[in-house]
Amino acid sequence: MKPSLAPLLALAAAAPLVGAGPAPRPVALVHARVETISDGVVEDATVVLRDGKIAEIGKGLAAPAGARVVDVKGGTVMPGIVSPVSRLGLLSGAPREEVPGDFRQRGGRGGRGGGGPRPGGGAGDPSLRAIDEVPALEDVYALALGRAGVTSLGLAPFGNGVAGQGSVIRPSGSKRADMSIADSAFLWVSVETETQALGELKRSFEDAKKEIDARKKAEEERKKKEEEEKKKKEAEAKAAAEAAEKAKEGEHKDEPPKPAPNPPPAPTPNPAPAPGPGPNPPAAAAEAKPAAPRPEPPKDPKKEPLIAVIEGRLPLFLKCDRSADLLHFLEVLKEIGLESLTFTVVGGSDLDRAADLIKARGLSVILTPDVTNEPNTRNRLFVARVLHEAGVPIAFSAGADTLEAHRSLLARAGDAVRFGLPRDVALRALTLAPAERLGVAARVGSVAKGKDANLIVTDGDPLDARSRVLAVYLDGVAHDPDFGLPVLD
Amino acid sequence: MTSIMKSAATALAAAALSFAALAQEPAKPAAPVPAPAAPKHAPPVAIVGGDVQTVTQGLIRKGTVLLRDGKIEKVGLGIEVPKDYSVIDATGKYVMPGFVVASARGIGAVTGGGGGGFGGGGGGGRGGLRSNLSDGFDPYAFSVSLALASGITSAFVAPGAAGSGIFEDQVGGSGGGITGVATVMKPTEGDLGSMTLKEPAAVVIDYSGSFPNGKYEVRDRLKRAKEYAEKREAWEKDKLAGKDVKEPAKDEEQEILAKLVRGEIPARITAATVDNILGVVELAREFSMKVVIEAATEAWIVADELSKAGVGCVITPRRKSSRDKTKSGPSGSNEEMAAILRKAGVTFAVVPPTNSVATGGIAGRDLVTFPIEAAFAMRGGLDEQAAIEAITIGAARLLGVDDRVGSLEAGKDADVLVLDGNPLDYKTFVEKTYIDGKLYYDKDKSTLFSHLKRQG
Amino acid sequence: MTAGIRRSLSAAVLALAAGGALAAEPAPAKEPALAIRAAKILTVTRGVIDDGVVVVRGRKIEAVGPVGTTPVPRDARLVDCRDSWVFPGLIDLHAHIAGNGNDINDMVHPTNPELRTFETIDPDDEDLKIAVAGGVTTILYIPGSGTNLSGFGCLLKTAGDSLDDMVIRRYGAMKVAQAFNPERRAGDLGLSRMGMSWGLKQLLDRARDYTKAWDAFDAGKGEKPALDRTLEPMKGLFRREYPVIVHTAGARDVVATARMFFDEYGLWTIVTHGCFDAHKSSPDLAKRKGLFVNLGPRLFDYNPTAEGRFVAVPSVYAAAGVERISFCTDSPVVPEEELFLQAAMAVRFGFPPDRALAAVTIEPATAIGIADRTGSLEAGKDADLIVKDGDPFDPATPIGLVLVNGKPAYDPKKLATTNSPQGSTP
Repeated sequence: MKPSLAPLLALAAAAPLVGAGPAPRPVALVHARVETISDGVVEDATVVLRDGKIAEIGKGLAAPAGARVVDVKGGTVMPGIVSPVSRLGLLSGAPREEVPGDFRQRGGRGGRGGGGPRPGGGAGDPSLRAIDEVPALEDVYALALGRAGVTSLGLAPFGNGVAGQGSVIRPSGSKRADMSIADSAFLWVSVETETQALGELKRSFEDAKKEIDARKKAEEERKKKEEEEKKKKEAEAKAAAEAAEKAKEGEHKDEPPKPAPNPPPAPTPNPAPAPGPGPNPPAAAAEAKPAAPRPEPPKDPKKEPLIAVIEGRLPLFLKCDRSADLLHFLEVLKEIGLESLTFTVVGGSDLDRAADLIKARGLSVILTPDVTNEPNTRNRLFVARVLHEAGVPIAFSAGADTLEAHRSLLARAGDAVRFGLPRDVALRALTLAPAERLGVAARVGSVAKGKDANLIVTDGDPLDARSRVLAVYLDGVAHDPDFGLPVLD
Repeated sequence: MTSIMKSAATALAAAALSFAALAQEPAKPAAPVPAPAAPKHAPPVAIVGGDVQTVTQGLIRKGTVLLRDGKIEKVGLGIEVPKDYSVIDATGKYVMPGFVVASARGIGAVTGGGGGGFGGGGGGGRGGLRSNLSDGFDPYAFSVSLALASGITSAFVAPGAAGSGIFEDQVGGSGGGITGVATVMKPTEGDLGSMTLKEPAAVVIDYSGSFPNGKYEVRDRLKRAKEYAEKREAWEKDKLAGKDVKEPAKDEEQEILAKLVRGEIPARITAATVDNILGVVELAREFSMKVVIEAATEAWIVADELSKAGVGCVITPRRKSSRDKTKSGPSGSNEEMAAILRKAGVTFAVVPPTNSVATGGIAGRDLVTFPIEAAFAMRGGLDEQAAIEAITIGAARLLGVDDRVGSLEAGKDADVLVLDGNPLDYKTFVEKTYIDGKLYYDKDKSTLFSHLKRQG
Repeated sequence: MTAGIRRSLSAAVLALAAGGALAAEPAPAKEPALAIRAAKILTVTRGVIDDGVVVVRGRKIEAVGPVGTTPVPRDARLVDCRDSWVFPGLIDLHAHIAGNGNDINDMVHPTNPELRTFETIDPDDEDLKIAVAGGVTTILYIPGSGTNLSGFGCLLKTAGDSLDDMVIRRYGAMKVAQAFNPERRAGDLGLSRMGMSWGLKQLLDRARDYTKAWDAFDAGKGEKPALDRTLEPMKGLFRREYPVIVHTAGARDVVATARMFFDEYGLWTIVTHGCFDAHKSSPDLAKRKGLFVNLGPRLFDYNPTAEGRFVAVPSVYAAAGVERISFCTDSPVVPEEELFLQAAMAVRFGFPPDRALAAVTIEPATAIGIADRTGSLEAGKDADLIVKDGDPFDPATPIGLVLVNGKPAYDPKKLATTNSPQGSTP
């Protein structure tokens, strides 16, 4: 028995209200089957949304007073989909979705290029960020929200090589500032297996490493100098005190003792560089400024992102068309002594070949959920499953920069389960796993207390192609599934 | 080191290796990338009971080959097999060194994706001489698997326009110039680190007769390279003598050409007619370069000149080229080419008309049936030993990797084949392919040919 | 025993044998004879003869058999090839050489039965000489596949004194290209398989009616029909004087070909190419007894449905029960002189060697209707033969002599001329 759309679409025909703020009343979704992702499934549950966040989850919980109650009637509530990396809606190089059709495309999405967007040719600029390319008013995001249930979008910048910084947005808002969750969420690097390009890549990393070493050295010297200064001053103070004592003994005993000079204030040190980040590197941590202002060499914005990557402060997303791209990149890292750098591999139609290597290096992968064929045979090849079974963390991407590719994600994830990927792995790969890759897992990716109220409500199993998306919640505000417009109370 | 000293050193080293029973310190590859430290090797193997074709030291019936730590440890008769070796019974089989292809296209190239790779686009990739083919290698490419199934363990690959076969009339392009740098690779499936055997292995030069300006340009660049090399040498001498002189600017491209004019690596030039061949010989003499000529259709006419000049050839014995009726002397192809070159003392290697691995359906003309070309050489009077050399040690010599591959000798790389018969028999299949002591191909376990049983 | 003594002794033996067999014969001016003695003679139709002799007189084989029981004429010139094998000259039904490489496609109309390659033949074509040196003695020189029906191919020997001497049949076979290449054309009906089939059927219907009308007239039963030069050559198809040879490949198209030409119109049909995944339809083809299959140049199939295997196409056809299999080169796609290598590759991939030899000799001869005169070594047949230092398929051994119509067409060592006449000590 499918629940009626009426209460959810009450005012869908009303004039679009872009950039609606958080709902004034709390919302209670009741009689829901909740896929929390982080904590299993809760049957016949109530989810309370308040002030844009998930306030409560509980089986048979009563709705709080004054809440707008929505009876899900046994349907499913799951976290909104996190699309880890695409160029959906970005102007340069991305195909735009033309007609919002209603058919789904399966398999072979984007050919065998795998899970990442394809920026056009041309070298990128690491100082640029995807967020700056986001057009101010873009229907496609609202559509992605409504039709695809995508509540967080990782966007890749334009360019090849060390291309630029990716950003994470929520698909609603009239200003970039409103949309952005993270301006700089990852560094986007694509590998071109050609000498010049590999050479440039290597040089960029080397320069960044040199800069880090130089700063370390400068920091050590500065500390050394400080120590010396301190010692000197202490020595002076001591000498002065002794001299004063002597003088006191010798002459005027009523002179007040000279106060010991204050030791210079200990400056707050710059954040210590950590080699190799863990699976959840913090997104764009702000650098702590030293307490004592001193002249610093101006930081090159083109080098800083790569420095942040090497220091473990910024995740690296490596776009690979094939395993060979990954192998060449690993060679480059080895040549400059950065073997321990971990990063996320994006794409790669034949990553199954390198599954053991990926696991051994502690890397994670973003790829499409699709089943393809072993080359030159009819044998099915399910790269995501091979990687998962090898112990590699996986997250799903749409594979193409189109609305349709995003819309079909749930169905394709459903196919993945039919081809043997465990259901919980598939759901996680749509939600929490990409959130972790993007460093926004503290905010989104699961139905958990305190996280942003980004949810998909379906009338059945979300991975069943016959289910319908009834509503999508973004920051606690319901949006209709046709145009992604907020539903007013 | 001058080229003479180097040849002597190599000869001594080769002699030393052939007497040693145990593995020697392996020679360092010439690649600019530092060799990987202590790579993990496959466990030791003993191939026992087959007809062992060493190539350089005869055929040993019911012989034994020991492979250890990526090298050939021992070859001989009645060798005791140590305990921890896995034994491969090669009774009734033919054991020989892996095939060396002196000119190949499209093995291990990255397809799609960014630039690079060969067999497509203009010559040389973006960086000209500084462009390394190894940067475009894909160890998972299907061409690698097929090369292994064909018994190929080393191949010379060069940048070039699509459709540039090894025949002069197929060479595309601008008509002249130093087009790029070639690499000798091994099809080590799944292992990128072991794929490059030698890089740069040769400088590819287009010295075709139709475009005199192109020839001038080539000679001009070689002249400048020679001057550069001399300047660097002089500076190094001065440095050793303790003089305080400024180092002349180092240039990556000139460094590669310097290797060429010092005779450390050869030039690879396509030439088919007598005029063009002799033109290349002149070029080799003028700059004291080593040269290997591809196509070399009419080389049989000037075999003695080639021999005197020490120029090597990569030939396709079966290819027919008609006599030029406008010329008074001999011209065109000759079925006896290989035998004539052999008699004159010219080092040569053979490649088939299609020097890539093909899956289009036509059999017998590409690298999948590589030894058949050597059989065609025998049709023209070449003896069996020479035919086998043309696909092993002869090719290795032309590629400058004969210290590492091309024969079964202790100390060389453990690139070994087990075949179900004489390689020159058109019915023979490769059963096992070892590279660096690791089993990369087993006919029974691969889907490609396991269903085909040899008849007769 | 020295070689010299051995030869003299055997010459004596031959002389005795010849003397014994020589009955009183009428003695018109006889053409010269050759007696080729070989270690092995592969007759193809009458088994293998060890230590045999082939006697050639004029253009024909006079006798074939073991030394000692085969009559050798006294005047025969003895060709001593005791280290060699002798087998029939090779026959290729799908060749595009002999016209200097051009002129094989006139691409205005989709069907062109009025065209023929006969007028384009250059008897001095270099490719023919090279083909002969490779042992190919008969070819069907057909037009290309630029159109759906490109015309009639000429059946000829690859060497001779003149064009007339070489040509066996001006109308060798009608060439049809069903699908694949003709799809390159655009503009008129026949761009798709539907249009091509329609066009062909219309033409075949007209030709059948035309033939019927002429048959009736020839039997005195009807009015004289108007001469139609376009349909004239097609009368021979319906009278089964010569076949239609259809370039067709892929599982779908080979069946369409068989259905149309063999089933529906009852024509003497040769399916040529039969490659890519057409082997999957081989059981269908096997049901049609009397259908000829001419495979090449592609002899293996490697495609995703092959599950990563190199499928041996000839072996699959044979296993399915297709009886009439021959090989071709589609020269110059595979050079004509490498026809033997096509057979070698088939053997490599599991095709039985004796069938492989038949597939380049008696099978193509049968398919094109000249098995009564060539394609095997039998008395009375054309003396088209090859002397080779071993296995016919082995690329490593050279060909020593090729006879076409009894004359040496390739004789690098002058075997046929320097060997002494029988009776004198060599």
